[in-house]
Amino acid sequence: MPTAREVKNRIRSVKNIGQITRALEAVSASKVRRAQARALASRAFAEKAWEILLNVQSTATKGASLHPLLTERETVNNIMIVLITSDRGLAGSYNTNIIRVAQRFAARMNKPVKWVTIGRKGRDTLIRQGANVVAEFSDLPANPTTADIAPSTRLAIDEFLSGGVDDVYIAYTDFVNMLTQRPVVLGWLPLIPHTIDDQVAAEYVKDVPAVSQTDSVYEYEPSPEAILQEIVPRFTELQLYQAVLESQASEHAARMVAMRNASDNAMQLADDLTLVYNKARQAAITSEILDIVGGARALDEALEAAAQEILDAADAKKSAPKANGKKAQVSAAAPEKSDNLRKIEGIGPKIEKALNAAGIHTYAQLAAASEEQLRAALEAAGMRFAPSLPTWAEQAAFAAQGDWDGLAQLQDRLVAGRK
Amino acid sequence: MPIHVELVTQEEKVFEEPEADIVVLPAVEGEMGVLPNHAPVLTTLGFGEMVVRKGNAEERFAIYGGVVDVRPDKVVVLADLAESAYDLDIEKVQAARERAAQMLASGVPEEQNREAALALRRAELALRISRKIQQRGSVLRIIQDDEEES
Repeated sequence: MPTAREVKNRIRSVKNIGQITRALEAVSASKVRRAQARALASRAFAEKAWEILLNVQSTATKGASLHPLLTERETVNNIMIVLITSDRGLAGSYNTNIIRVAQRFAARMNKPVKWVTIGRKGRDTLIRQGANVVAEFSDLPANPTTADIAPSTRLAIDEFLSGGVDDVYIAYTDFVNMLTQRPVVLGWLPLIPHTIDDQVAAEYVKDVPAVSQTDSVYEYEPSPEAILQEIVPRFTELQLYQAVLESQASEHAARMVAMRNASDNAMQLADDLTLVYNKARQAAITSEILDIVGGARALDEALEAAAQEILDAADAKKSAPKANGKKAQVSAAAPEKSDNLRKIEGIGPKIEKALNAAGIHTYAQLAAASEEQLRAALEAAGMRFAPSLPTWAEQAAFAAQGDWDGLAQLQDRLVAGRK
Repeated sequence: MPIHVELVTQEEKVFEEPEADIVVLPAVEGEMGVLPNHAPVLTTLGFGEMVVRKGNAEERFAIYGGVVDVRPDKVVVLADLAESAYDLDIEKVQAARERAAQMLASGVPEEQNREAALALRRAELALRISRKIQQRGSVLRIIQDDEEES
């Protein structure tokens, strides 16, 4: 399990990435609207021009071609494909899709292909695969004008007119709506609907929009040729221009969706990681508490052991002199309080001291002691004689039982402790 | 029967008026006034002024080449370039004209030479039109009318 600090760092980096993708999403969202509007705006001209073109082609000339860009070649030896991709990535599968479609189309056509790329991603991929890239254009402005794509158009027209290629296609991404972008191939030059023998290849090619044919018979001023001369170059340019606009709208839409997904994923990931982080944090706290509790207990035990040692040592010191004095007899009762032995008639301070020294502190001990013991105790204290000695035990027996009346009666009968 | 007028360039639809009374176009072979029920004509346009009238109101555009598709009830202008005559910025046009004239005078390569000549023609046309409008003073415009209605 990663530590809380590691998880925290990851959360921060995930959140930073989320912020970037969110910003990219917002930028793309505003760009896609403008690109879409431009693509729609230029459609009006394209439709009209196509209409006029077909009109002139069919009615004025009875099928014979008046303009070289309208003439279909009988045999197609070489083809040119203009591949429109984006300059930058982070647009989901946008670039991959159009490149794949273009390459499959080229493979099905089974003819030598001269590639022209607009956009860096397509160029890089094709060059890496060793395709024959004859020209590349990149860094188109975000708001392209027909002037920006004029070089590409001129190149294609020159190649076509000089016979270098016999068919020119544009591979671009059609903007359907925000969620759908369709990679397609458009038959560009000659400017008439292309007939493609290969069924699979034909699948990739965009259908030419149906045009409402007017039955009215036109007058041409100054001549059909002059009109074609005017409209054909414009229309040629426009087809590429529109493909670029559609591609740009698609790119931004694809990027917007990709970035939205990325932002959502980042948020999800940050949430998951926050959970992991909290777990790690709580685990750390728990183990810290355990450490503290364990430490405290260990300390307590150590203190108790030390206290016990001190107590034991103190006990040992206290019991040591008793064990040294009068052995057996009363050692068990030794710690008991001593009684006032002077209540016994015949015992004064001096005798009491002597008795205490012999280990006799209480009435009970005194009552249990024999005359010999008492005499030995007196002799040990340097005293030779005590006339009341034989009655001490008797008196002490009363005192030991707390029978002070009995003791008083006995003492009344005694004279100076003697019978 | 009114005429439906559309003016589009490659980059945008500049103007649309479904109920115009008359359209004057700068065809290559001279100015051409189109009234309703005109015979179908396809013709190329030169440099010049296009006028659309509807009642008392009118709209003027500077047209720099193109093609027009005239039908009995519809006029579709496909212009190479077009701008509203009322939006012309005289100072900018003047500056563009001087720049183009200078380029021509200093003598530049073929390609740029042609562009400069084109730019000069455009600027001169724009100047002519905007001067004309200034002299006429205030006018009633179709677009303004529409904006007030909506």
